[in-house]
Amino acid sequence: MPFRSSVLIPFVLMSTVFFGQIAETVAPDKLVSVTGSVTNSVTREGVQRAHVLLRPTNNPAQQSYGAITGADGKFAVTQLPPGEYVISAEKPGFQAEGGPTNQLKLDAGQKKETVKLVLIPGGAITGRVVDADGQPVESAMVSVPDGGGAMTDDQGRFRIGGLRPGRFKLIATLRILPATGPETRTDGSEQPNYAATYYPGVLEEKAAGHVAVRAGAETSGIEVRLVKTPVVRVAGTVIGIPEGQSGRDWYVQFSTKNNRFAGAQVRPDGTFAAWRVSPGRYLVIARASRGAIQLRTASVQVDVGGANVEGLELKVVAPFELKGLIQYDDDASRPKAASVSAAAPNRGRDTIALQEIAAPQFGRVLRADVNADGTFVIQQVQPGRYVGMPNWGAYVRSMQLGSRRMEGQTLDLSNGANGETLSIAVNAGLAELSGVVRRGEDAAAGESVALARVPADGSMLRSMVTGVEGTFTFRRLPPGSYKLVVVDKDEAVGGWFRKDADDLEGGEEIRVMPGTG
Amino acid sequence: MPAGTYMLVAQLRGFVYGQPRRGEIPFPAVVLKTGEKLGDFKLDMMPRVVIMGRVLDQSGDPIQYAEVEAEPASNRIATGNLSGDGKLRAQTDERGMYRLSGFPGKYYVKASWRDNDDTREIRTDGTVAGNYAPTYYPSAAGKDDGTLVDAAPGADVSGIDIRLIQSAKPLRFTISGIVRGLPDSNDPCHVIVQTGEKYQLTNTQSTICGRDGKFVVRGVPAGLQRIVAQHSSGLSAVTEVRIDSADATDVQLTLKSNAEVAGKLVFEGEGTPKGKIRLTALISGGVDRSLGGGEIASDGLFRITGVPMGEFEVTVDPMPEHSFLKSIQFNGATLSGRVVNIESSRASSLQIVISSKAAQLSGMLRTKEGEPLLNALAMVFLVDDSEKADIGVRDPQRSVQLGNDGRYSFKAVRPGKYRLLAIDAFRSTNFSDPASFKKLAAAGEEFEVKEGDQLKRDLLVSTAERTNAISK
Repeated sequence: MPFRSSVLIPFVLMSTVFFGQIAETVAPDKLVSVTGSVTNSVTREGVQRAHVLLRPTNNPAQQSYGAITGADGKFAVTQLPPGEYVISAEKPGFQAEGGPTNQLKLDAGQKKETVKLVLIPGGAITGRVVDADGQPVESAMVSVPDGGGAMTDDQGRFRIGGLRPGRFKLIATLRILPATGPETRTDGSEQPNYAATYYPGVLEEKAAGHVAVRAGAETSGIEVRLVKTPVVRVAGTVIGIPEGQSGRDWYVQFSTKNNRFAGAQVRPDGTFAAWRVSPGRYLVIARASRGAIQLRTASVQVDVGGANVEGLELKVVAPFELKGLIQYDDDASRPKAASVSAAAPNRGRDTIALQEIAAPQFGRVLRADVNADGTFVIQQVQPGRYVGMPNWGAYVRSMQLGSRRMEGQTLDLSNGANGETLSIAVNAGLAELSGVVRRGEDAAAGESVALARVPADGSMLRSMVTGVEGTFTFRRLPPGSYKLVVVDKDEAVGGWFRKDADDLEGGEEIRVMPGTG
Repeated sequence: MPAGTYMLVAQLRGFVYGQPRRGEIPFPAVVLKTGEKLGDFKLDMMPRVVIMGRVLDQSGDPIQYAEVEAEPASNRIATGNLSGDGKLRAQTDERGMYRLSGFPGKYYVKASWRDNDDTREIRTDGTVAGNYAPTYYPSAAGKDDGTLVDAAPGADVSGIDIRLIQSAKPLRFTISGIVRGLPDSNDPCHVIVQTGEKYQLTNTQSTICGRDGKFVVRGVPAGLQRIVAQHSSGLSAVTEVRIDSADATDVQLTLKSNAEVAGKLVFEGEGTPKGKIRLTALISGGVDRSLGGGEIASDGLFRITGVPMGEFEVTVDPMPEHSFLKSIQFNGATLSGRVVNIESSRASSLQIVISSKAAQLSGMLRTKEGEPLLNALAMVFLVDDSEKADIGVRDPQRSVQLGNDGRYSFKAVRPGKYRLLAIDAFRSTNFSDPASFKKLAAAGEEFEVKEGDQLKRDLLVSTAERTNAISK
């Protein structure tokens, strides 16, 4: 059915999707209640006027129930239907502390008491942004990795509040709008240009200093000194814009792993130039900013330093159909007989997923059902690089598109498929990696362990928390080289999802041999 | 420097610059004629003002993420602030505090807050979930009941605390109902609600309906709602519901399988046009990804598949040079416009006639002194129905930008009766507001354009004083 990728799918994906269902009426004696308290993690006292919310777990669109805590931090939510809920407390300036108590299963007629919720009072960072001469800088954006940020005032001062305790790398950005080339000046002076700068005054994230924030406390006197850099432009051409579409409707977007952005409008002739791009590594993509059809190019990686980058080429490839065939190395790599249940009609299907990597919308996943003969078809594939992932106990050993063979699980579709069939060799030799984390001689529970492919192939890194014995186990690993690191829990990273081995400091490289599934 | 009109930006930390508005341009500007030398040009910068305060709820608790906006009592100064409307904007932090900074003057300060949580929550402990209306300082529902904040140059005006007032009626509503004609399949059925006349990503939301077809969409703001059900097997017709003060229950949507539209393009001119016939959906931002085909064959025949139910605008892309769309017949009936309404799944027929005998219209824009308008930021609009005139129109047959030589030209005009309107951003006033734009569009002299005409019409723009003498 060609309608699969239909008119409104983009809006379905981009707007909140929730599962609607009409609430059923519940007999009064079956109604349940939840009472408890909200405590401040630092003072151990009750938090008054906190908002407590119970949301149904399986059905976020269903009615939710709430209450406000009294002066002693106590709350009571009554007359709600039985079921599974997630309970949370919120109050401006506080951060929620996660934990097993946040999931509640309430049986008919149950009166759940003494539910304890903890709020961590947020911390704050205050300071100044100054230029190369030590003068205050107004309207600089100062931000932390989790997305919090503040603009400097006319004294160069900033304050970022409501922060979860931890260690932060601060970045200050001074945007000059519109982002054009250097001003023409005839009075002999020179217009300064400042790059996005990490605290205390460095361009490289790895060299950045940490700012420690304690719960409920303010860390003050943090000064970021902006680094002066030459005005740099990145210029190139978007090739293959279809007839009838003007280049004017196209936009080139630059993004870093840390969600720093730059961009440029494409000129009618397809050329573009982005000015004042801060040093760093960028993914660059061109897309139609309006118009009916979602058209774009694959992303290209660009390293920006102190000199102009010219001649970048971005090629438009229309969304295409990808036909494929799974080739099983042996019987063990075939999917087991699927068990389809009425409760989960979609579970038990054998699907091959292609996850787009190194793209602005990281995490976009295309899925297709694999037929009994191993064939599959994926519609509306956009140009780019993908990681192939079967949903049964196997990994992608290699792929071949036409005559082009690609080792490993990474698939390059930057130029489309050109009508050729993709063959995917899958193998059941998934491995397992387990170990223990110690601090000195003692087993360390609750530590974060991260595992990433080496060299970075775009696949997502995996992380887990050690158990009471300090143990961890990563299951279903494709064989290959990995980097294993114990992560500093206090460091705010702002989302692991775009990180890879290059972002992990220290650690050990491990070669994982094929396992037995 | 080449002659022309320049935006004038003056920057100094802690200072702002403004000048009396020219036309409706919110930016300070300077006009330089050829050979002109502006000497002793004085720019007076003023120390900025700061307005600070907190946004609080009915209990006096701080509200985070409230949007605070200071609207100038008079908008006669072009300050060049980014929003263009002279308003200062900020968001409250976790202490409920905000800080606005900008041009000195008198301001109305307004705070609005919308809970991120779209689902309505039930409270049984006697408290009330926040449902706050936009509130003017100190705690008024309307601008006129609010208190003006007077901010003198250099002043830090603090303590401008706004206590939000509870809204009299709900701000969010629920739409529920059922999708009929759902086949027995695992593919999900989506219900999409678009609020308001025009598509924007932020005013569209969706839900997945149950296997029984029932659906609930919560957190919908008041206004016109266009509701459509979508499934791999087809789409429902768009149902329009206007929500004012109550939820919409029992909305019935029936899935219909996709249609096919086939037809012929008749070209009254040389050769056969190459290109495509496009159908652009009028709901949901004109996205028509599902449509297949549309290519015009050498005999003019075309076929478009996968067309869902709904209204579509018909275009020939690209239009041959100097051509106009003469007529459209849909299922045998002649349409007055170019919008077709696909109501049933059976095949529809479309006959499109285009003619290469479009008229051409060009001319010069002059000031009231008779000088050509050079280097201006001007647009010329060709208006057939002033009631529908829209400054945002991007169709090159409806609006063109004035060239640097002061000339404009429309290359393919459909025969009919028209008026012309010329707007210059620095000289004309009262054009941003849609109603006054329509009034301006209706004021021009009407004239008739016939097939193949080559018309020349020079136009006047109303000219305000264009000196640089604002602070000499």
